Amino acid sequence: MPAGPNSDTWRWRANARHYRTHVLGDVTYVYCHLSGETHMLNLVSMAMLDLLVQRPYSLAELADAFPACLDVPVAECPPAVVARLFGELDDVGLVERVSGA
Amino acid sequence: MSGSWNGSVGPEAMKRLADHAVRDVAAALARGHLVLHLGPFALALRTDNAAARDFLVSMYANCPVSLDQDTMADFSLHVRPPNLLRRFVRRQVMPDPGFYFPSVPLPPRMGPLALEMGMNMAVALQCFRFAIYHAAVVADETGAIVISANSGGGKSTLAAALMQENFRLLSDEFAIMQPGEPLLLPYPRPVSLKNASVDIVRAFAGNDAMSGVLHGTPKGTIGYRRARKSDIAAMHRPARGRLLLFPTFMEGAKAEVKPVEAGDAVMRFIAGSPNYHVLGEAAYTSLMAFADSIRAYDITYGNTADSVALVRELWTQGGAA
Repeated sequence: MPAGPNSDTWRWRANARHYRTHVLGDVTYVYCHLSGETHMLNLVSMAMLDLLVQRPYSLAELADAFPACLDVPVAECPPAVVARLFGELDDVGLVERVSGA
Repeated sequence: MSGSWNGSVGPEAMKRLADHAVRDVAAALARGHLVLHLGPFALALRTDNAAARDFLVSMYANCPVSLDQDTMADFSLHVRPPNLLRRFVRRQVMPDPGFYFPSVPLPPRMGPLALEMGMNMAVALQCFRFAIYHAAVVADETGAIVISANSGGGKSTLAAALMQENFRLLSDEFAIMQPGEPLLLPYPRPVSLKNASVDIVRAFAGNDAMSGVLHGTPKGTIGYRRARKSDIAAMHRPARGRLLLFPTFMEGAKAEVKPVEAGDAVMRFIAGSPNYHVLGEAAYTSLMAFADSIRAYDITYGNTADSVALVRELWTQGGAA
């Protein structure tokens, strides 16, 4: 089984209690209580973070749901793009695994 | 704010440096008992370097000091030879803020530069009560202009020029932000000027406002524009930022202004902070409030008169008198 966010069986979520946000124009500054780091997210990454707050998703589920969340066809937001955006949120510790070990 | 109380006497009631006899100042400096109370910090100084001492007596004349060995200080700085040999043979001097950092030993006549560099290092690397950003800050009664630039960008020259336009000096080197709220604290030390800027500022500020000039330093020619008595008197009066500028001086360039998105401005501002990440949420809270209260611009100019005109225009656009 592949490790990390590439596993289709693992499910992930964002916990809004772990961070604070502040919108400045087109970007959102996110302060993460767990790491003490400040992150700058664009509108798309912030939309993904908001989606992951609502319920846990596997990467495959996220690839299906995220284009609809943005109201764009899958061709404009293919699974590889979703995986990359998700990977960035995972890299900075804004998402956590909740099941599927 | 500062942990520098001397019994019941606060900094406001302390004698100014100029009120002490020079021989008492020299004796206290030699023993490390001179504590300079400036803005939110108390700094214990020690040196027997004559150039550093003379610079201090002249440029910090209006600052409250104590010469009492029991006075507590936030930081300490020893301007000293790098080793025993260099005290006597081919003499040298360097700043020692109590921790190691790479520093080129300087000839004794450059004691003032060692003193100023050491004071910068002490605050930049040891202050964790306030968020520190690399920027100059001037203010009037309506708010503050924060000037953020890399070395050579014209930050200090612009700050000195705005002092001439009746802005008070909060700081030449650091925007010092209160944690949790976007208040900028004054730390009015001399404005450090390099190369051509020394004569430019001397031309409009006058000889009395300037220190002597140090030629051949690792940074080129260095001179300092002194903080005025009124700047020192207002050193406990914080200001709220209204304008954040990223200046670029280019010889002969046409004056230009370009708005900077708040999100971009904040990222650039954080990049110039030595302690933002250490302070965490308190720094985030104050910085976000600061970002909401400012307009940010890139400004490019080819001479000081243009830079002042640009800033005046931007300041007036924001509703200042």
